[in-house]
Amino acid sequence: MTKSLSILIVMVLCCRVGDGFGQTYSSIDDIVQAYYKAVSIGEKESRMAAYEDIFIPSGTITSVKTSATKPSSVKTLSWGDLIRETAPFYSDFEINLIENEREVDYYLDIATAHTLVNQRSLQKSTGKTYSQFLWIDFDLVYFDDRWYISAINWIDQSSRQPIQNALLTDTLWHQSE
Amino acid sequence: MRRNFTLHLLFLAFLVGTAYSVHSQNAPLDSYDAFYLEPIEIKGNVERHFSDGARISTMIYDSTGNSQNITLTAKEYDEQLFMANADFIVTRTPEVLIYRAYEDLASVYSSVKIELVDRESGEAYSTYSVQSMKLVRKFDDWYITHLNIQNESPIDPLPAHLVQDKAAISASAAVEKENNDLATPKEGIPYDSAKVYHVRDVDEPPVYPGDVASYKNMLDQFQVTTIATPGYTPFIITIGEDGLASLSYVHDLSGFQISRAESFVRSMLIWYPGIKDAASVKCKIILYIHD
Repeated sequence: MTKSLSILIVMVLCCRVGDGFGQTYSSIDDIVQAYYKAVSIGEKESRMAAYEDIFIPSGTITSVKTSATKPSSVKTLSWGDLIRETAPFYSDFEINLIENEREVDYYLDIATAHTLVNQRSLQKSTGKTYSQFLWIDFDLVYFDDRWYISAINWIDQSSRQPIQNALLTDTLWHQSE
Repeated sequence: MRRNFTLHLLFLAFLVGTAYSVHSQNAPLDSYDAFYLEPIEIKGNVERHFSDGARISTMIYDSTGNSQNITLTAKEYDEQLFMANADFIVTRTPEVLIYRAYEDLASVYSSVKIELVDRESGEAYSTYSVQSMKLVRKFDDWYITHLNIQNESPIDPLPAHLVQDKAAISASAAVEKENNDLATPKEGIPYDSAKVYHVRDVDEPPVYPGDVASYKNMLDQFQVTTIATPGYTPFIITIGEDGLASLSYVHDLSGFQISRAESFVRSMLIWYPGIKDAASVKCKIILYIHD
């Protein structure tokens, strides 16, 4: 009985960590991975709690949706508003983000993590999976001994060029004139 | 009181923004340049550079190195800049370090030199910050959607190669240039035997024995560079008064990188230590190791 109880406690603790809570977020990888986990949470209140754990209160998410025929659609929302707006989408789909590549710009207590991600959306009613590639750009700040997300900016892959182009760097030592 | 003043000053420094006349900006760096280079004069001009919902998040420090995170809306940022302009003549000199763009989203990582001159006393202050700016395109113009600002910490100044007047283009050039730049020592930093100095603040920086080529070969061998480069992670080594090098900051290195950085440091010869007021002092050097 005691052994079973111990195993149960260990399993509960493991699940807790796996959900992203209780993490120290002491590394950039911790906070980025926690975001991927938070996005995949289907239940709205749990997703809200997970976002609250990793964003600063005034954190924002900017989405840029490309189009072959129209100008891109650009929208910036607080993370709370985003969760409220996307609730209907989550009732129809399960979301999963798989990171393929990452680069980090870093100085002291700010960092930007640039990631190329495959977003897979499983439609619950049909079982169909939809896939799109994203450049997700994390603006991070470090205080109180941990990293927080101050903003996320993402764009989906257009039909005009591969998403890998997002990580090409250019114009080193550009000076304003 | 002193701490509050320092915080206030740094806060003003980060708030430095610019106004610009309304005209089309067709490339992200056009908007970037316009944002930084126009003088601050008219309330509301700065706000126009930002997209709806944009935020400005900044890390500021007091003289003891304690940090604070402050986030403002574009309107609040604009108002703070307007007030700063009333008291100070402000100039900013930005320098793009890393630029990325894909379709209608762009990311610019830069260092910015900020100079404030008190309009009454004429007293001048200057500091540096690292700024990570994100821009989005709407209706053929580019707007800032987020600005993350890291002000220079008094206890951990920006590495010399990240700022405009100390730019370097290669490992060997960085070593040579720092030696040249430091011919004129920075005033106002007193000798302290316990302090770990930045190379900018000593009379003579540490020098690696032998020729520049051998130093560069060692950097190459361990995939280390002196310049912030995509795919590389920063770490700090300290050169002691005795010339021995040690790892002092490996904040976000992986276990493999730490192991490689340790081998790198162990393979070093004994340096000629940094000199301050005719005495050997500890000096730190920021380097970058391949991921």
